[in-house]
Amino acid sequence: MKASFGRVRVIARQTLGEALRLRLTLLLAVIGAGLVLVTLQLREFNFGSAELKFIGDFGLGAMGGLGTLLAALATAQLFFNEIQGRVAYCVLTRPVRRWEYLWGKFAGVAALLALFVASLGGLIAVLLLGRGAQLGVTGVSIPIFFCACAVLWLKLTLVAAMTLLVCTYAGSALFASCAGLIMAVIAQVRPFVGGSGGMLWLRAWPNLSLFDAESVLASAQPPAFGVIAGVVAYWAVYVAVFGTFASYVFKRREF
Amino acid sequence: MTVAPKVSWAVELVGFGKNYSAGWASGRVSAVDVLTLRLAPGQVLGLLGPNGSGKSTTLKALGGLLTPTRGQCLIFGHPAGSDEARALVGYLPELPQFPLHLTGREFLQYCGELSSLREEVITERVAEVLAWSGLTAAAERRLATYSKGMSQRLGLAQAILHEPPLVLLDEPASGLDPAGRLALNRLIRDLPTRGTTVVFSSHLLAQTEQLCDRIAILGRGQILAEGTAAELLGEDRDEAPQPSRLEKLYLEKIGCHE
Amino acid sequence: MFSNGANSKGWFLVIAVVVLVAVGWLLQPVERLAGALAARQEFRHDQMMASAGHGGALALLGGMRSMVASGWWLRANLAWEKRDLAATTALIDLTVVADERPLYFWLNGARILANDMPEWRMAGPVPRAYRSVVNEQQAQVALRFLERGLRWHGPRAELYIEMANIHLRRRSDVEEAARYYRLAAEQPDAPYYAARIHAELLRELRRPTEALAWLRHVLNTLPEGDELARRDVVIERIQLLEQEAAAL
Repeated sequence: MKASFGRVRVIARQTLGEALRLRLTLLLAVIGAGLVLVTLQLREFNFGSAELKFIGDFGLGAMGGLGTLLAALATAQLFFNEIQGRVAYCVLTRPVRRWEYLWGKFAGVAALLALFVASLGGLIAVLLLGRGAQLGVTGVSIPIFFCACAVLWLKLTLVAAMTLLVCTYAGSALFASCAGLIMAVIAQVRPFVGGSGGMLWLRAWPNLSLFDAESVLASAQPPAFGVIAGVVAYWAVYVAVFGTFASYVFKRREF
Repeated sequence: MTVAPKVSWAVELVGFGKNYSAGWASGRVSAVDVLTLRLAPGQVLGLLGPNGSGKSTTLKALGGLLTPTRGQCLIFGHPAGSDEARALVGYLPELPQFPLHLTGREFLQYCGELSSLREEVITERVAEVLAWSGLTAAAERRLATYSKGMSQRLGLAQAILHEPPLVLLDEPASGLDPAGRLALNRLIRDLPTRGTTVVFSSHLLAQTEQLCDRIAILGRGQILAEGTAAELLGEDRDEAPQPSRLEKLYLEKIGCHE
Repeated sequence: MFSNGANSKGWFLVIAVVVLVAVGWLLQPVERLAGALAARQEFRHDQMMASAGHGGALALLGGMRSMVASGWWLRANLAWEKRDLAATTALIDLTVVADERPLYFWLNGARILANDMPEWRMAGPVPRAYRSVVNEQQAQVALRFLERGLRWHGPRAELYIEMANIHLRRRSDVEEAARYYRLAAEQPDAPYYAARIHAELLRELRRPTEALAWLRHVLNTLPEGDELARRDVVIERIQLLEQEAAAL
């Protein structure tokens, strides 16, 4: 088990290293930072303390939208780069189990998403503190904002897990990333179209709207422990299920 | 070196066949029909054949990257693809695209960690294989700056890093100039002296003739001919195959010698 | 791509969907527990209809309604700068449809409707009668807007105070203003001044006895040592009202 964990960690580290050098990562991070900095223009409206709420909302929205793109596109690209470059053959012909390779990839992408959320979240927190000091108000609680960021990270890693499942049987990064994004959209709108009767099949998707970072911020108070435990348990079950399916499919994949 | 079990054959393909799906309408295509061959430990086997003859498929099956549709692939008595078999195999894919942001040393380090070698062993072995492959001077350079020849030598280095008793090389000389091929040939020739069994596929007839103890010519998914060079060509094997006159001139001009 | 045939691929797909549906069904209790974190989950027809043609429908479905509402509020402010009455009204409405949770939108929206728009409609000198009509019309628009807010939020001191201010300043209806200040004062976390202003308005309506009874009741509820409670002011006003009541 220790050896397996070691190999997963090695693959995760390598995946993260590669991910940080993807042009896609740089592009989305720059766009995200740009969108966040645009909120500085809000001072012209003289909203007062509400300006901080708008900065928080726009920031979370930018992180959520761009983060979803990053989760799907980066997962697909990192997976297929090694397959199509045949580096994966050097790895999989070693005593590395297929599921170790896959979980290593997932852990690397999860780390990338954590860095993405942490950097943009940090930038937004600095803006909130700075602008709050200028206005002389505390409109948004920073600990609650970070809690909202953590909920957002859970959502993004779930998107990555779904995309990784598609990667295990897809033939190209384009197909996998598109399918991953479509699945994310379906999972997000699932509660709006029901999930009973003829629409029961929709329950095959996780309910991504549960991971509502905006609501955490809007509530202005930390969520109850039971609620957080429920969200984390829900996330863990789906990551485990998608991971198990992906491992099963990838074990039978031929090159 | 990973200790190989004492068996008669390093590689054993018995009635090996592989079909691929060619799409909904086209049904299944046979990449390898029926292949039976055996290779003793310490020998070098060359797989020759045109594109689509099943060379890469055979190597991938031995490496555990795909499952035989028919028959058996055994590596020192273990089914290919099993944990035991993969611990005994080193693999060099065709034209691999290694991570460009890593240095040569970092990439080999990564491969060593994946082979679950101990840290001190990794450091030692990385230095050894870098020296063996003539890449010590380039070890701290990013792989993006490596030439094709250097990348192939690095690929060979990662394949033998964990001292496997069997090395599988898929078109190792693909895309190399004569000087690069020469360097690679030296390395491949060195492997059997260390007790390593080698199976490689190639389009290059001269290279195969120079390096191999046994040659199998594949065509249409079957073995068309198989044996030693002497058996196949009916020549005196003591007479080493000569490079062509143009190749000799070329190597002289660029300063490479045997 | 798979080592086995199309049959096994098909079976795997079926089993995967069945397992995922089963997991989704089994996790319903956890989903309900976790759902407390999220906003309302039901499909909001009014949101979709309102957002049609204005952009933001996908973002609304994508769980970004705070951002969408903020975006529409910004646009409302841009329209406010241009004194575009129709656009400002429509965008204020869209904002609260997208995200009804922040009181900020309800309060500031009502202030624009009640205070700014009458001035936009009456550019230049107008007869007093016309001014009264316009003030009354906009006040009613703002009050109806705030009543929608009450339907979403339930009784809230801030909304009642805003309604009271509109009755007092735009409609000069002291009776209604007094009523709403009392409603505000009765809510938990109401500002202390709401109760004091209710008493003052009762005084203006020449009902000092009622004002006195009210302030005596309020004084009993005010905490000692809280400067904001202004017990000294309340005591002073009780004394004044006692004199006025005695004089009657």
